[in-house]
Amino acid sequence: MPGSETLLDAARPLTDEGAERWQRAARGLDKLELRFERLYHSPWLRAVQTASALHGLVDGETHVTELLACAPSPKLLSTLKGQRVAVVGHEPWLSELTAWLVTGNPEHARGFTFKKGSVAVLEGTLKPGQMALSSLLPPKVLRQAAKG
Amino acid sequence: MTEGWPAARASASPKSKVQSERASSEVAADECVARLVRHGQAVSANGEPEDVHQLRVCAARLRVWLRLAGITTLHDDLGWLRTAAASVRDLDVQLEAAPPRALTQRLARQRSTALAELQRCLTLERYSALISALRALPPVSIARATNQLHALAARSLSLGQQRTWRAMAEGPTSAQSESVHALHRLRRSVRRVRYALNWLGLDARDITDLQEALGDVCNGVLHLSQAASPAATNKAFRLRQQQELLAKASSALLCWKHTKPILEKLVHAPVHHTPRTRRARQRDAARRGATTH
Repeated sequence: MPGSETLLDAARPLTDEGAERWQRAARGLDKLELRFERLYHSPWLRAVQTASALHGLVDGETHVTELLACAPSPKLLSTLKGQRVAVVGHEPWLSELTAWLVTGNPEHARGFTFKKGSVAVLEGTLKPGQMALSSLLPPKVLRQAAKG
Repeated sequence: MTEGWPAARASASPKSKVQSERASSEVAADECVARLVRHGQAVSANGEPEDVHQLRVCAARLRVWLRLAGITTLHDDLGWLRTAAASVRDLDVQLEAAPPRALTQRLARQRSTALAELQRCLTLERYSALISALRALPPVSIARATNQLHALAARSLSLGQQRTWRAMAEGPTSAQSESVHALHRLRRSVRRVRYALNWLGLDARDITDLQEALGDVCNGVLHLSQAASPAATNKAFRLRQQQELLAKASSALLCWKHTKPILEKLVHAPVHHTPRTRRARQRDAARRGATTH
């Protein structure tokens, strides 16, 4: 059962400014022609709001999962289906997931820190240590891409 | 039995006039989420038809709430739940029509299998994640919700064009015919308008009547397709189903003619400017003002 602090954090929304900035970043992803078969996101409110802005880039289903509101696990990897998948979650777990998929060790997360609103693009087989980080896009770059 | 639906309302015990005014200008999903959880628990425990039906209804209402709130995720998760419940509900509807014994036995076996699958879905992590997400959603402003209602009503009008009814008049007897699919789409669209009106505390009686009339036709087609199956060898049963279907189709058309002006009125109602659109308009006005200097 999550503690009261976790429950409060789960219900914390994006700020108005944060939401507007992310909308612009999502337009940047659209301009970069990033498209997904499926989108998975955590049930926390700000992840729901963040994922909602990406809906136009998703050809198939969106899928909520608690496995993106905790440390990455084999169960998370077996849940993610498809060739082009978007994942919306939280720090530090997204850094841990990236580190795990790229290096095989989630403890290398310090080398993959995400700013709020950043997007990492990984390619390869969805197994620990078998993916490559093809780009890490900070939010400012995405907002700039939206203007182009 | 249909549960009564509370109108958009103020919170139970507002601490101040400001809070009370804010609460009455918002639409919250929490009561419906609580109902969804209750019916989910009941379905897990015993799988009674009414609980399956209400679980499905709650999921449908919440999908409409998400539209009113402008949230595009969680629809598929609610849809997944609804699909699992629909498999059971469709069989319950057919069983309610008291078909011949051989068909009843077959339908009952199918229902057991479908119910087991629904109950399994309710144990999955996706379901608990969905409930967590729904519980965290804040209320939506009446202004924003009303703007979305216009779009829903416009969609119903566009789906209820003459060609849908012309095809119906030719007598759809197959569950696979294009006219029946068109009618299903119209029924779903009208149901969304009804739920949106419920959420906003507006009169939904005429829209409800139309939804139910359309639902009767769709159910009638389903019964007829079962009546044509090898298990249903009773000719009198098939003839009775056909006659009932024609009567229901005429009734639905009359209902549509009565309700169409109401939908048109909803489409042309004034648009509410939400704080976000107001800010955007002010920004645009400022930009125009700056370029003219």
